[in-house]
Amino acid sequence: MINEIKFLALKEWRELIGDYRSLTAAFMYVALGPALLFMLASKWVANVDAEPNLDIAVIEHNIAARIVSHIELNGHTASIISESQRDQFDLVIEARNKPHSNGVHLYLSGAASSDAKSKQLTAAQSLINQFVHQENRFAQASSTSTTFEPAITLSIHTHDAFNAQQLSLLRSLMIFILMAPFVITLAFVSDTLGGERERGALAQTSLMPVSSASIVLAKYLAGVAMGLIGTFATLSLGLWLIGDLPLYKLGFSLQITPVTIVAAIAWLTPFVALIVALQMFIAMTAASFKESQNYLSMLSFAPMLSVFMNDKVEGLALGHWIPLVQQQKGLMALFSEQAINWQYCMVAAVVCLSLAAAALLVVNRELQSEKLAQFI
Amino acid sequence: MIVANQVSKKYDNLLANDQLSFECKTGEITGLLGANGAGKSTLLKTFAGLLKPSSGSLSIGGIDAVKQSKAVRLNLGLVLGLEGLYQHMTGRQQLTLAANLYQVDDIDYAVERICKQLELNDFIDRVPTSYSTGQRMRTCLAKALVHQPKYLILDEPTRGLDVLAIAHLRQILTMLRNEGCCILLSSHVMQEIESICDRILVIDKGRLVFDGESTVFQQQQGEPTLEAAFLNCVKEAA
Repeated sequence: MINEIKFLALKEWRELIGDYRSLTAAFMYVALGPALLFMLASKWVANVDAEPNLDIAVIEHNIAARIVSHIELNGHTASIISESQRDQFDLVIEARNKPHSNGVHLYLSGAASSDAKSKQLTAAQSLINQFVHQENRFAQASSTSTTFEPAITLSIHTHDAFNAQQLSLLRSLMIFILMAPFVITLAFVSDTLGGERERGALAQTSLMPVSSASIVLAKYLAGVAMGLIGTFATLSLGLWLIGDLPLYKLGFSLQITPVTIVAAIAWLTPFVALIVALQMFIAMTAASFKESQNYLSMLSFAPMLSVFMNDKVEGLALGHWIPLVQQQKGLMALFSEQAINWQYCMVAAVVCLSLAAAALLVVNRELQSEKLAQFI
Repeated sequence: MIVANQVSKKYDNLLANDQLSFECKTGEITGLLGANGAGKSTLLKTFAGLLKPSSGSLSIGGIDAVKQSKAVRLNLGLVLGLEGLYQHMTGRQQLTLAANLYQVDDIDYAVERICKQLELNDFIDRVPTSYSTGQRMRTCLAKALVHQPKYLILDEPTRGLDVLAIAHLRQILTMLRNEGCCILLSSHVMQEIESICDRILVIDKGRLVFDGESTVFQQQQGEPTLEAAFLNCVKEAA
């Protein structure tokens, strides 16, 4: 059986390399993905140096309307929000009445974890200071007391969790890495099963003295090898490109070393194994080549869904069992020097490989079915 | 021998093969005759292992073709259509792959031999997308013969071929028969069957209506040609 798999896998590679135009198109992602990520990251870094646009949320209070008006008069945007909306904004002002006086104390809170955030916080502080100064001047002018106590005071609070920009960069990085195996192997898998089936080549192969399991495994191994090579190339090129950017301005320190790249590939291997098996499952169970291509294209968007739904999925009881979610968490931890939960990593790898095995069993069953006879 | 014993194949409500029993002998070419939809291709695909019989048994060289299909295929050559050549491998690469999978000992020699025998050398190093229909047919035949099988099954091998290609195919099949190969081929071209086959099997609506020499069939039907005999037989059955 090993010889059968070897010869059939070699056939898959010959077919793959022989069709160099499709191969070029598949590997286009290796160049385009990193280029897109580089452009996005460059733009974010450039924004750090630009004058910040402030969007300040002011929590409901009788002074809130005056603060908003001041901010807007200075060309920035502001809105009055309720306490429950606080988490949705980077810069928030909360006014609290001072005890035993008529004065108000303003709390300005924001992140200072990057150059950009720090800059925004400083600009907001300056803007609100200006407001406090004006208000106090009016208060002093109308006051008859010789010992004037400022009516409004201000204090600054910083919170340094992952800020929105860091999160966006990490999310984009995750999407672009996790999409690589989907996009690179899509055409190969749909052609080697759906295409060959419609051309009668799959039936002809199954007429040889080989087991259907050998045919499935040969195609699978060729697909996984292609997915891993493509993912490795995408990852290396992408990280090399954005590694040269001054990401520290975003308060971001990407750990890009050969060791982290190899670790990322090792971490992604069970995931690539699952993707190729799922693609084969779709290609083989779809009624036609066209139908399989449509479903496979839709499957390629799964990483986006996972990245944006991550917070919600994570909250589920068995969230850590879901492959894409774990791959994403593991990679984020790997590149940002956070602690990796190895137990969850193992669970994710086992889940990926188990699902891949189940998908391949269905492919094998389909290959043995009589449906193949109608294409010859 | 290629043997069918009470073979039936049913698709939902359609009985494609109805209790077919026959034997194809070594060193003979057996022609399978029938109109479109008579059940010829279904029978050949069942021998090939692509379809499973609803009842009955099939054997090739004494080995059960359903239960031990892999063992059967080591001594069987199959051409079930001109489709199915890999698009991006040269003909030679495809023959080498086939020889490897058929566990041929001297692969280079086997490929050279079949290329010479079937006169493939002019085009075999190109990819099949540039082949003519005749060249595709010969390449498919070469893939089926690269391991020098004792049994050969062909489904309408002359379909789409010109006169020269048909004549060449006839020569090859005659040569294989003389070497002791047991050949079962289907066709609905009467002249083809008449000129090359030692025996014929006539199938109509899934049932075997004649098994014997074509001259006996003509006599039985009281017609001077195989074509007229076949038409008469089909009309009677209707």
